[in-house]
Amino acid sequence: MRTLRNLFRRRLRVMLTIFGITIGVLALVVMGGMAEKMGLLVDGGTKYYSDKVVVGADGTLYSGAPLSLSKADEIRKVDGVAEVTSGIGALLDPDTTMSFGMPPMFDGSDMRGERLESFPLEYAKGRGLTPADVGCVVLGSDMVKRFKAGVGDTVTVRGEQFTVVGILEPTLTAPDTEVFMTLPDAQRLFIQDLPAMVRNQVDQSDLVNSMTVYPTPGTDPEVLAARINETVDGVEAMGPSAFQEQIAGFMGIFNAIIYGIAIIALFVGGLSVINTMTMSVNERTREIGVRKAIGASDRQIVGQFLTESGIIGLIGGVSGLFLGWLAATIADRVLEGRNLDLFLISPRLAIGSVVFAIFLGLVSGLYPSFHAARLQPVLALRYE
Amino acid sequence: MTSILDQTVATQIPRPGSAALDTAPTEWEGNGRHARSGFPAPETRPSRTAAPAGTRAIIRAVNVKKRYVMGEDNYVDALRDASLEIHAGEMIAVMGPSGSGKSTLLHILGCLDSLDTGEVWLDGRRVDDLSRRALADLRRNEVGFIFQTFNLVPSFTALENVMLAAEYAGKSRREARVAAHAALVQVGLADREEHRPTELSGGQQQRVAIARALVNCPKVIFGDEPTGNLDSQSSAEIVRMMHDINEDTGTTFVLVTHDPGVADTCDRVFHMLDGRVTNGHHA
Repeated sequence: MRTLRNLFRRRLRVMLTIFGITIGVLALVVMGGMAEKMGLLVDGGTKYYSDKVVVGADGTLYSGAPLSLSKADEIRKVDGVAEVTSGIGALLDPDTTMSFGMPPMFDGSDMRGERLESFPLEYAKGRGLTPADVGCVVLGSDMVKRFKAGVGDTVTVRGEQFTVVGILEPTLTAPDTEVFMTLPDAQRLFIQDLPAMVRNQVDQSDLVNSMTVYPTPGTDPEVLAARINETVDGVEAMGPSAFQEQIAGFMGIFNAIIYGIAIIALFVGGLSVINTMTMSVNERTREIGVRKAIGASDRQIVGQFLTESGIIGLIGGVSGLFLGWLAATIADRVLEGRNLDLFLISPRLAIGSVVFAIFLGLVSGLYPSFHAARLQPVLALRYE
Repeated sequence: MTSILDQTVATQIPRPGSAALDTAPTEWEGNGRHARSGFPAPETRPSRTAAPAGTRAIIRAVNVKKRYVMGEDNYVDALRDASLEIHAGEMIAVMGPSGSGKSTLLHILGCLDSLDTGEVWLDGRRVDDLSRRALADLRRNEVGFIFQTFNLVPSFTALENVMLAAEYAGKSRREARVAAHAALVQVGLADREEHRPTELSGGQQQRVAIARALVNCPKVIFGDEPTGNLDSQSSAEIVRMMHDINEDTGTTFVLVTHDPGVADTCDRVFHMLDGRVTNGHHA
């Protein structure tokens, strides 16, 4: 309490300094929240792709270009393939041009490899789909918000009505923003997206745009991907490392930029703490002299000023965290209508931001504190 | 001015019981050399000859020199050759014109400032060559300070100001509170404990400062113009209070003052001029 009272003797300046830290932590929390969300998506993807091979049309992996279902039978013949799931994944809103994070998708598959799937999907309500559930959907947890629907309700996807039979628990990665349906339903919706010329030439029931290959036990997915590329024409297969290289690598750069900006903001806040504490030491030179005259040791003077700068960091950190959380929550609420959920303020980000702010306060207070402690008591006393 | 300088002979008031404080011989005795430093023993030291026989030297300054260098060829010799000896339980005034070096001497005796040459002894221990840490230790346990401008921490209450000194001396928050309360009772400010300095009169602020100086039971309390900012009534109260403490606890007081009225109440008066104690070495 005494430290706080002493600190707030120069209220405006201390408030401004705290505000400087607050802005820095706000930036760190908001940007970090974005990075955490992205990180989870990537982690989920890394985990999902870790034990399987993804197959797309030649040269167009991840682009969702059409592929013939007959390729699945060719792939099944490759040595080391346990099963192939064929499916269609496409944007829920066909006019989405660019997206931050995972855009909402609809996803239909023939579910043939379901028993081999290691990625856990749990149902919050209802049940999973079977190939017989034509006209039914399972909603990812974020899609519940979009459709405002529960199990048994009817939702409209691409102008068609579907009945919700299940709702997934949040996974904090891709499935949260997906609508799962049977392959025939997905084929019917997907064919609308194709250019008219192509649409007339393809057989709707033969149309897929991705395949997931489950290796037999003991088969290295990377080796299997290479083998598929060698033996099956017109497809491109990729193992787990492709995802790592293409997506995770990009995300690493993205995160570095995001955190870099936030750290610069905090660094500026730290400079302002140094400035404030140095001014405070200068203004209180006489008080420091008195404190030394009545017996304060160098260490006690250092402790006093470090405590003050640490408190500036703490208050700035906590208020920055609160404002960051508020900003992220409001932004997510506003963007909800556009199906964007950008931020994840994880406990480690929250605790890390505040701890970093305190650390910054302490480090910034080091020079002024030692300067104060080294003052000759009598010179400090004479200071006007 | 001459009336002040005329009081060159140290006034000496016999103090009841002071002779009983300590009868141990000082380190000056023996072969005429200083026992620890080899420094010549100043046989002619008037403070020694004028002091009550058999008392213990609590402070001794020997040929102290201090030069403040402001720049090349720009310096002030604050102390040219100052020597004095003060005995335990004495009430001492140091007088002299502005710039005569009395505050510098006080600061050096109180371990707030360093000297260039010479020696300072506090209660039989040489203190002019101690480390920063040892000096801080001395300041918190052995000496107390009172200033002309009181120098209380403005955002702290009276109690917290006194507690600060006790906490620096290693007391816990609770112990410091008890000790600070006792010290404020001693200076008659028990009912003002929760007041901030701005809510107190000058005399009351100085009493808080005295309580702060007292709280760690120091051997010596140094006062740099302690009544300089007070009206005559408050000034008289403060002087009376210091005398009471001096008599009750045997604490030595060394007061730099311009006020002959304050000096008159003291046991002895040292006069300074041009960085020397004039009724010391050369009297």
